[in-house]
Amino acid sequence: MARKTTSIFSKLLIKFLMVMSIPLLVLLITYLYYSESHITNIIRSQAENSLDDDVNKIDALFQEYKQRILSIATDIKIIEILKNDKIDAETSKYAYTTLFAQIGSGQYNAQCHLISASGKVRLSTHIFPPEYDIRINNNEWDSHILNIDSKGFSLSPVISIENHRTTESGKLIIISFIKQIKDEDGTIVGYAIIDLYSDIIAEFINHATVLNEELLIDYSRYYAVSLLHPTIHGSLINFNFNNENLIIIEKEIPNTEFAIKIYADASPYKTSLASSMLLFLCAIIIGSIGAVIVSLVFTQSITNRFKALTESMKSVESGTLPIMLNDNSGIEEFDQLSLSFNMMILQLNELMELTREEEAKLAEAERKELESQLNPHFLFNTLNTIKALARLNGQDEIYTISIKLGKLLRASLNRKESECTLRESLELAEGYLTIQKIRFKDKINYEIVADESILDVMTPRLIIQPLVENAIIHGLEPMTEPGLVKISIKDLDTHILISIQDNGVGFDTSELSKNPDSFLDGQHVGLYNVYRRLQLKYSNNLYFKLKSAHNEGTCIEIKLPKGDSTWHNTLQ
Amino acid sequence: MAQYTAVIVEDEIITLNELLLTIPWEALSLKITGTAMNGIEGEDVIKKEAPDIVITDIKLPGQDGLEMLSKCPIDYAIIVSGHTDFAYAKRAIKLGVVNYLEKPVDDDELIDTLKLIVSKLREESSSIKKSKLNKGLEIISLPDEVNNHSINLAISYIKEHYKESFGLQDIAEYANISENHLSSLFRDVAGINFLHYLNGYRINKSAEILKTTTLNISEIAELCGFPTPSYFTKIFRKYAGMTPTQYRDSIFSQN
Repeated sequence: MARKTTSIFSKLLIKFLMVMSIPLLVLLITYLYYSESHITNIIRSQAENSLDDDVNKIDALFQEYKQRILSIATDIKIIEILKNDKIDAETSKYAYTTLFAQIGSGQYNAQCHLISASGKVRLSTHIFPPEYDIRINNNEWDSHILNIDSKGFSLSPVISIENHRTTESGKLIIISFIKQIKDEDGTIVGYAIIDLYSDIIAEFINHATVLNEELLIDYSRYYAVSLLHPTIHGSLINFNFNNENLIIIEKEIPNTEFAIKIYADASPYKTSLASSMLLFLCAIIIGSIGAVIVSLVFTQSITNRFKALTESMKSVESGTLPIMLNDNSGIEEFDQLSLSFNMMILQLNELMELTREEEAKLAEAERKELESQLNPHFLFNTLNTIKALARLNGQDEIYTISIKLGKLLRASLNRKESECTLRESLELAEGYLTIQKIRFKDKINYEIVADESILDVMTPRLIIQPLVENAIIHGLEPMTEPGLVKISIKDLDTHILISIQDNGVGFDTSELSKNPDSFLDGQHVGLYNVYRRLQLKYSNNLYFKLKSAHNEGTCIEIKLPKGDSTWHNTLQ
Repeated sequence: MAQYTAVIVEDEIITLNELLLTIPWEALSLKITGTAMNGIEGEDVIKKEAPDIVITDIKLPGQDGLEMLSKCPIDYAIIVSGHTDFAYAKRAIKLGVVNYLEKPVDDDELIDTLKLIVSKLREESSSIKKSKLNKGLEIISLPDEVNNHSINLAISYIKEHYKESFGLQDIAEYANISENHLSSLFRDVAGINFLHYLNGYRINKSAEILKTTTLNISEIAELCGFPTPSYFTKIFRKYAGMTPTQYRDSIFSQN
């Protein structure tokens, strides 16, 4: 499966962008989730503040005018006038003074009316409104008041917001305070009424911008009037604002059945929020583009170094050594990397120099070898020709030497197989001895004794012949007398005993026993080679004994385990 | 004692002379019927003489010894070479080479090898004599059917393909068993080795043609799957004790 690889450039770029977009996204989400509810909360709290304020003010207004109407209704002289049901110049003066005093001198925010139970006496600070004329609206009006007065009319004045009318001076009546006036017997003698102008409300009501509408509600009659737009009034059912953007809060006026209800509209803020959102999005987009550009620049600046490095690496790969990298980029890691790379290149250069030298040496050696090499086939064919000539001319010794020499040469050239049978080893040794015998005639004699049963056992090649060669060259050749080499191979059931014995000059073994490695020195290399190869193969199972003394000859005994080697099965 | 024939191919005149003059051929019951000094000439001589034994070098002018052997009908061959190469030796064994002797050649080894081959040739002759009918229709009696499926397959293959050139490996492949196994199984089950059976079958066929037609020897050799007329003659003589021509004459004189 091929793994998808991406360049460091795109990886870095993607990661930079991810890092940069996280705060932007968080900001966006926060803005979207919290701004709206936050605006709503602000509006609500503003509305609540102004509601509290307004409730307090209306409450104070109510208290004030209740007090005023009570002072009229409890005025003994007024009661007297109404009880008598007639008025003269003196009493009327008193009554008017009292009435005007209660509605505030000079500030005409209200009208005050007084009417006797019969309706005969009608006094007003302004024009007595026909609506209050008991003679015309007797039943209706009384029942109206009675209707209002369901919880002890006598104690506290009735506050009504239903008496909407416009006065002759163009003022709008918004709230009316009505009080029955009773004599000491408890008989109703008349009514006192204070009508408040809408102006007084408009004066102190908060006109906070968030307020869409503010209603004064009379829950005893389910009637409401707008405090912001006093001309609007009517049954509560008619006031129905269905807008999800409206924040509606309501608060009772203490000890009354009145309440103020506020409608605050958040939609303009939301609209402005939406437009600012657009701006915000634009900012985010511009920010993102900026982020991309900055990321690109950053990434480019980082990857350029990598590119330079990889280019150099590639040129190493393709075999040409690049020039050194700049190791002064100002970034610690890059400098380290460039430095290491440069070191590597330097070492590579040195190595290549060395290799070139070695190659040159090798080529030279090979050339020399080729020049000096004699084709072995040529050698063998020539030996065969010599042998043929010897045969044709009846030269038996030449024939024998050429045959045996051919075999010896083959044995030393054939290095592919590490083992051969003892028979082959023995034949080789015998071939060698035959040649030496022809050369030195009677000076060299040999005996071979071998147990036939073990001749097909495989042993390492060239173990007997080198030892025999050693015996002849170092043992017999220096002698003036004829010498004898004995080869014996014995079957010891589990082991094979090979011994090569000569009666030559011998040598001092004291040094060898101290340090077997001194085998290596001088004339004993052949011996050491055999010992070493056997040791490598048989390690602890090898028994190798060397006995020698001056002028007494040398004897080498080798004991090898039989089972360690595979049996060689001949075909015939 | 019957005499067998041999051909020597060797490009070096001294070595060739030495072999011709110093090996006691007659004592070994052998006769050199031809010599050659290059691969092309050697091929011609072998095809013409159809010897029992070929003694050859590998490095030869024209074509090498192994290539030459692969193109000829060879019963026994001895290679004498200065080269010792495992690949050569492996190829040589497939071509029926009995021994691969390295130069310089030890004459004793060569003589031992020749003795071995001669004894094998004698063995073959005696086994042919045993299976010979007393002048019946066929020269050699061969089992038609045996108690083994694979060998029956082999026999039917021989009967079907005897006109073509094929070897043991073709049948082994056909019967889906190994060459070695087929060879020993054939000998055990049929009582005769594969090559004898094939040659015997071809000889029987050729005897039939000799009796019933006037086709000449080359035509009959080709019809019966023999590579050369001389090889046909040699094998025929080996099996029938006379040449094809003598056989035809004897049949006609009887009638």
